[in-house]
This record gives sequence, structure tokens and C-alpha cells, in this order.
Amino acid sequence: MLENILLLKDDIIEALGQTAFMVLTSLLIAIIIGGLFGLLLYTTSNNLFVKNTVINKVVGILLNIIRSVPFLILMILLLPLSKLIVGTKIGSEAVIVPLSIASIAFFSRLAEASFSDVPKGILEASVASGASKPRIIFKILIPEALPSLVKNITVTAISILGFSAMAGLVGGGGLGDLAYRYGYQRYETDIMIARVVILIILVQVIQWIGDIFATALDKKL
Amino acid sequence: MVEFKNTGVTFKQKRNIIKAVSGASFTIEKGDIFGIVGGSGAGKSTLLRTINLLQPVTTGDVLVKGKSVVNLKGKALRNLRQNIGMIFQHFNLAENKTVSQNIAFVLETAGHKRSEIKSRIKELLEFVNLSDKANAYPSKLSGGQKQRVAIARALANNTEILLCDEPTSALDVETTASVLALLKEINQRLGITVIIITHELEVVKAICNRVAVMSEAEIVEIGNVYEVFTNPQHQFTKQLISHTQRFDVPQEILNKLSGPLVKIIYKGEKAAEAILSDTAEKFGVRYNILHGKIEYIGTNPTGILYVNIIGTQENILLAIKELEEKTQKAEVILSA
Ligand SMILES: Nc1ncnc2c1ncn2[C@@H]1O[C@H](COP(=O)(O)OP(=O)(O)OP(=O)(O)O)[C@@H](O)[C@H]1O
Ligand SMILES: [Mg+2]
Repeated sequence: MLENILLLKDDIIEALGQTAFMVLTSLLIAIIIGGLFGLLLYTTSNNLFVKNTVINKVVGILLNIIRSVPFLILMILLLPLSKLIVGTKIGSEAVIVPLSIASIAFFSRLAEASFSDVPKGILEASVASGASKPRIIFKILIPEALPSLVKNITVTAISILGFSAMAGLVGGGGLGDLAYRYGYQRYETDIMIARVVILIILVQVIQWIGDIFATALDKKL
Repeated sequence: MVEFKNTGVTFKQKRNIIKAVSGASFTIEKGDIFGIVGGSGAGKSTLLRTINLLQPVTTGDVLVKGKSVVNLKGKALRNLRQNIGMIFQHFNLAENKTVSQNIAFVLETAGHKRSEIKSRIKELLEFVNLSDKANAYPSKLSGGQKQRVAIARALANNTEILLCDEPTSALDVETTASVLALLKEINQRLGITVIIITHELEVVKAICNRVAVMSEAEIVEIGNVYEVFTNPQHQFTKQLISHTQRFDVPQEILNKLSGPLVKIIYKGEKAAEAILSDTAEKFGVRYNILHGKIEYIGTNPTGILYVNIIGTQENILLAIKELEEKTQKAEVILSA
């Protein structure tokens, strides 16, 4: 088994690189855009900010629709969009588009929850001190939500890793693709096992790093 | 300093309309330590929050330093708020900011320079006696220390009015006393007008000079603290005060009484003993003091005595009549 894996060492490293590329790019996009959507959902639901039920509901429903479509189907549905945005329907680059969109929808809701968990009292005290809304958002809301946001970024990263495994089905490369080609199509079970082991390690490492950051940032303990 | 003019706040919910404050009209003078007491849900917080417009009013007006605030918006509103400090029952500090950073936040809001901010923080922390906690996070502080930080933050921008919503309700008796002493100092040394909401009458007695009593959205009584406490007019105030004058004499003793039990309230220096001994001699009755205490409202004493009067029916009635005349209040609470 080991020989088999050693033989494919380069392939595995290449796949790992592709996975890292897909996951990190989508994660970054999800943090930025999903974070903004989360902020939008939160501020439009809170009368200390800009309560607006219509915007809140419309955005919320849109995100729910995306979240309710299984990733595999979302990927197939969105590949034409990939062609439009990154110019191709296959490969890691193409997969980034559906992967990012799924991740944005996923992280938006988690970010919204992180913001909602900030006690209203501190926001009210800030309003009472005469701070403007943008100032309260950037100097109070986001810093106070940060430890929780980091935890949710970790959860999102691990989910994206899971989604990215399906990228293999559309030639997206990565560990999933490798496992699919060798493990499923050629019955080389050891590649499957190696890939599962790598994923387990990756998940543990992501969780470990996330926990370190979240703990370091949280001053409530 | 703050003037309510027929101020009213109603909340519209799906089905019903809640009147939280209705027709409040009174003035809080500069330099007052003004208490607002009342039951839960009476509308105290809602009324207080109209002063810095955390709560918009539905009817009437609120004037701060002679200017109406109810229509302020944007920058003008933020400027008003910068000069009105506010503290809360649960302190409401930013948990991920240190003590200094919490105070710096409001100083930066007002646009102070970095060097000014540093020295101002130092000064404020000295004032609230927390210089050694400048770099501590709130989670490492006790409740009393957190409230001191909140007070420092509230005073940061040359505050003229300090709004306090149940500032001691989450604190133990000793800490409460020290926070109240600090509020008093703020009032006397810095000349800041302090407005305190509380459900603890002890707080009002300890530091307020004037008090408003709220019940079911209305201000039912208002006045000098000493007057209100020793001579309440409204039924609700009487009831509120009687709760603090409860006396606990064991039932067995009450059962054995011959003659009525009378509650006597007397104000000021008028010595109760003299009145008692006079009437005892005059009418040939005996008094048996079951319970008594002297309370201080600010620095004014007010006494409460529970006495059992023993003698002939006729003499007892005469004695009670005289007591009624010569004390603040004499009330038969058990006629055995
Ligand atoms: N934002 C709101 N929306 C709807 N109703 C409200 C709102 N805020 C307060 N109320 C209602 O208004 C009334 C007065 O509330 P308020 O908080 O002012 O009372 P309070 O005297 O401060 O009571 P407590 O001592 O319990 O703090 C209550 O019936 C309350 O339910
Ligand atoms: Mg209240």
C-alpha cells in the first residue's frame, strides 16, 4: 500500500495544492462577501442600526435558497457562470465559483449569528455615548464579535474542504478528484484511505489553528 | 437642566398599544441628584431614555438645558449624547477592550487628540480609583469595579448630566454604598446633575435630594426626598414606603397584647420619648415599645416606633388622639 502511495506522491502533493487553492480562495471570498452579507442581515434586523424588514427578508430568502441546494447540484447549475467569470467550465478555477457562492451563503448566516451574540447593552451604551453607526460597527460590533467570527470561519473552512472534495466530479482536481480517479474508478482502495487520512489530518489542523486564534482573541474568559 | 413637558411614550405592538410613559411634566434642576422610583414596568427606564433620545417620544417635549431634544438628528444628536453620560445595571462595557480602551472609545468619538486621550484616561481612572486596572479586561474586574469603569467612561467627555439606570441593582450592599458615594462625589465635586432610576428606596434615601415616584406610566408624586418619604401623599407612594417599614414582631407576642398596637412616625429632632412620656403621664397609660428604628434620609432623621398602649379604653383613645397631633403620623395597626 505504501509503495502505491509513494508512487503517487507527486500526484498527491499536486492534489493537495489544488485543494488548498480552492479552499483558501473560496474561504477568503466567503469571509469578505459572506461577512458583509452577515453584517447586512444583522443591521437590517436590529433597530439600533438600520432595521429594514424587506431587505432582510429578501437577502435571507436568497441565501436560504442557495443553502438548500445540495452542493453537487449547485456546482453543475453554476458551471455556466464559471465560464462567464473565470472563462472555463473545468478545473479548480471553475470550481471556485460555485464553491465561493456556497461558502458565502454558509458563512453569512454564521456571521449574522456571531453579530447577534454581541450583547445589546454594549451597543446601546455606544449609541448613548454619541458614536456614529459606522463607528459602532467597526470599533465595537466587529471587535466584540471577532472571537465568535473566528470560530465560525473555522467551521466554514472545514465545510468548504468537504464541498471541495466533490470538485473532482467536474475535473476540478484536488484530493477528491484523486480519490475519485484512483480509488473509485480503478478500485485502488489504498488511495482512498490515504486521502481520507489526509482529510482527517487537515480538518484537525484547521480546527486546531482556529481554536488557537479564537482563544487568543477572546478576553471574556 | 432637564424638563419634561407632557412627555408621553407609547409602544405599538401587533395587537395592543402599551403606554409606557404618559403625560410626565416636571423639571430636574442643575445640581440635583434626582431619583426616579417605581414598580417594575412602571416606565422609569423609558422616561430616562427620552433624555438622550435612546427612546423617541410619542407626545410632548423634553428639554435639555432649555433646548428641545426630541427632534434632534445626526450630528446634533450625537453631540448632545456626547455630553450626557449614561450608566447601566449590567455595566455594558466592551468585553474585548481593556479598561483604557473602553474609555478611549468615547474620547475618540468626541474627536480628542491622542495625547489628550492618554492623560484624560489617567485622570479619570484616578478619579474612580482604578489606576492599577488600566490594562485589565472587564472580565477580570468585580461588579463594583466594572461600574466604576462605566462611570469613568460616562464622565469622559465633560459630561453635565449623568443618567443612571439601576446602577446598583447588580451589586451587593457594600459595593452599592461605594458606588453611591462615588455618584455623590461626582455631583458635589464636579457639579454634575445625576438622575438615578432605582427600585431600592435606600438608594434614594442615601443620596438623592429630589425624587419622582412612577406608577403605571404616570408620575404620581414628586418632591423633596425628605418630604416624600416622611409625608407621602399618593396611595402608591405610601404603599411603597410601608414596605420598607415592615416590622417583624413574632406572632405569639402580638397574640398576647392587651391594648392596641400603634405605629408612630416622627420627623426630625422631635424626640419621641418626650411625647410618649408626656402622654403617658397625662392620660395614665403605659407604653410598651415593641420595635423601633431611626432612618436617615440624607442627613435628616426620621423615626418609626411600634408601641403597644396599655390602659383603660377611654385613656387609650385620648392618648392616641394626642399622638396623632404631636407626631408625623400615629396609626393603629392592631386593635386588640
Ligand atoms: N421597546 C419596547 N417595546 C415594547 N414595549 C416596551 C419596550 N420597552 C418597554 N416597553 C414596555 O413599556 C413599559 C415600561 O417599561 P420600562 O422598561 O420603562 O419599565 P421600568 O419602570 O424601567 O421597569 P423595570 O424596573 O422592570 O426596569 C413596560 O410595560 C414594557 O413592557
Ligand atoms: Mg428599567
